[in-house]
Amino acid sequence: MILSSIQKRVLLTIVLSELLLAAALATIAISYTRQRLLAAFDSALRGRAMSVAALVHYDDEANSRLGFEKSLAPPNLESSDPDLYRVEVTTAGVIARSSNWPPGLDFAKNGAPVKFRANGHMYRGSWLLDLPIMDEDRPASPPRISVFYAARSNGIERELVEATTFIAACSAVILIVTLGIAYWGLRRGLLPLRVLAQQAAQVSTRNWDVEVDLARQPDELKPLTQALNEMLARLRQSFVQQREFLGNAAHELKTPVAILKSTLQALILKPRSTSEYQNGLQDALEDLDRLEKLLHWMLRLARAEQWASGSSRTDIGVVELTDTCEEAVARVSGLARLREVSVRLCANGRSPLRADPEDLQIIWVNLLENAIRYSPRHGTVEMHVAHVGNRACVRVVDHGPGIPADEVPHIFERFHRGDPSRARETGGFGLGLALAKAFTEAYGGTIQISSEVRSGTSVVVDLPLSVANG
Amino acid sequence: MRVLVIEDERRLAENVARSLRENAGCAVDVAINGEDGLFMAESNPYDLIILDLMLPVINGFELLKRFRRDGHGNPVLVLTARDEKEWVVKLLNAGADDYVNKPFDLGELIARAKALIRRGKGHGDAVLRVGDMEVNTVSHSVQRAGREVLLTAMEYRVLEYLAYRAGAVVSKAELLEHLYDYNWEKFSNVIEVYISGLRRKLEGELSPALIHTLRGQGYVLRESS
Repeated sequence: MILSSIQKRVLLTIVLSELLLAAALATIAISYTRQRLLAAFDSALRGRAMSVAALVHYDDEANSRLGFEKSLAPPNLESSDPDLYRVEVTTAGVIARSSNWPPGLDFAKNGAPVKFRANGHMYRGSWLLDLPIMDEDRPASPPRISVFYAARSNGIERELVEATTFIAACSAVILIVTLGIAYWGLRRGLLPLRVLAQQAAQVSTRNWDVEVDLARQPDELKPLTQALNEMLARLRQSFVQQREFLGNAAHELKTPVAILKSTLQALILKPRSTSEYQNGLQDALEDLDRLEKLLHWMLRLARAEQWASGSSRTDIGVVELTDTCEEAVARVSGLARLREVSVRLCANGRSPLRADPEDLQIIWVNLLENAIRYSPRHGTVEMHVAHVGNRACVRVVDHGPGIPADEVPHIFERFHRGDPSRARETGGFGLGLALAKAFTEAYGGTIQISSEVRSGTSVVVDLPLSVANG
Repeated sequence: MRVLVIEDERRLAENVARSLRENAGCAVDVAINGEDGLFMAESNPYDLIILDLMLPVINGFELLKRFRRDGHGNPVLVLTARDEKEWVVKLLNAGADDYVNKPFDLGELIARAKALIRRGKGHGDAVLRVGDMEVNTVSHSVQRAGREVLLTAMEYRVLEYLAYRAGAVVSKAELLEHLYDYNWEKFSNVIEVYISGLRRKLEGELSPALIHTLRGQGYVLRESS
């Protein structure tokens, strides 16, 4: 639950790593301090042991009896003093021990310091072994003194506890300060994210922009903002397209509806004979057919434009491009005869293409019909199919009056009124060239028109063949 | 009355023309593109022009502006598919007298057409009165001294035109221009037949003459003085 927030996650990480760091630091510092303290303690012990050893002397020169001058002992060896010592000589055994030495206490003779409990306190002590007694008479093998000296070790522990407390306190202060800075930094750092969210919340069909100054945004957020803006641009485009289509459609439906309505109203405005009614109803049915056709083509166009904008198409087979062109030429032959225009098809080689032949027909028939309509009597319309690399290029050329330059950019617009194909194949609604363009783009191709007034128009459709060849 | 319908959708143009002929007693010409429409509008004295806006060659709005710029004052009724306020204002400012939205009601269109024709002739009342004669342009009925006079359709149209222009001299050519469309053959003597028919039905021993002939000039409809 706590991990659902980046801020909390980061803060938690900071706390955990700081605690870990503090623990490691404390361990190192404490063990180092302890070692230093122990070393100091041990050397102090050794010093004191030495001074105890110095109290050993010959009581009697002749007998070489060794004695211990207790009266000269340092004040910390008074009976009230807590330190423990014991002095042994190789020749005579234990010659002295502190008054508070617990009975039965003994230690193995080695150099290692020993920790033990005596008289209700923790002690630390060690042997100072085999110190020779300087004896001028017997230089060969003087007796050797060993001193065990121990002192209370409570001081070290107290100091260690103090050091630990100090380090812990420092760590806590650092942790709190870091957390504060981190919290403030995170809030500040995450502010652009909140701004972005607010901006994104403002996006609507009226406002499509996420207005964020990219230059002032943190690098981490730039890809997100960019992706967001790109996504919005795509959404906007398709939304605008849809809205435009809806607007156009509603607008364009008005005329056929007006026709149908007027036909029926003209019929009922005055009493008529049965045959007049029959003819009127026949007319109304024809009007309805046109309306239906318009709907059909509008839907077809909407679908083609959807494909063109990236939706995938399935279950389409491979067709021969030249065949679809031949078929289209056959379809327009009636119109060509009527207009006394001849249509010539020139194709080089085979151009297999993955497409729905009916879609391609729509492109070709619309282009050919336009060309025929623009052609003068006894004119010629040429359709060239060329295959260049993995692209097919279909060119429809007429020698008509051409299209004025100011009209060329609008020629592919839906419901364009200059579209002479406003008859026949696509119902005569000014959808022909828009459909040709939409279907060309649906197959990943391009359509271009070039026209010269008084010399003719040429439309070039460029289609990729790669899918079929692969 | 003679009306020009400029509309590229043939079926719609036909339906409007038919209703105007059948229900308003108008002679109607149809133009199916802007160019023909402008030419016809400028070369005939139409009593009303019904204009669609989406036209090939010259669009309706452009046609309207040119027509008005050329100084023609004929009433123009616009058919439009757009009904935004700004557009309507723009239309009216460009010289349209009225408009109907597509899809429109034919009955309403005819009523508006008649109203515009009436206004164009400087009348407000749908009943035209000359002396003791009343011509009802809505029901196409005529009364003289409170008595119903039965007229043929063509006789009514001649009388209605003369009644609109009551007091003015109307030449035979003017009558022909306003009562016949392109499809009718224009025989000037046909007018004389209608005039004599009207005189026989309207004027008797008790009723003074209304239609006066000015030799070489035309006809005048007015009370005898």
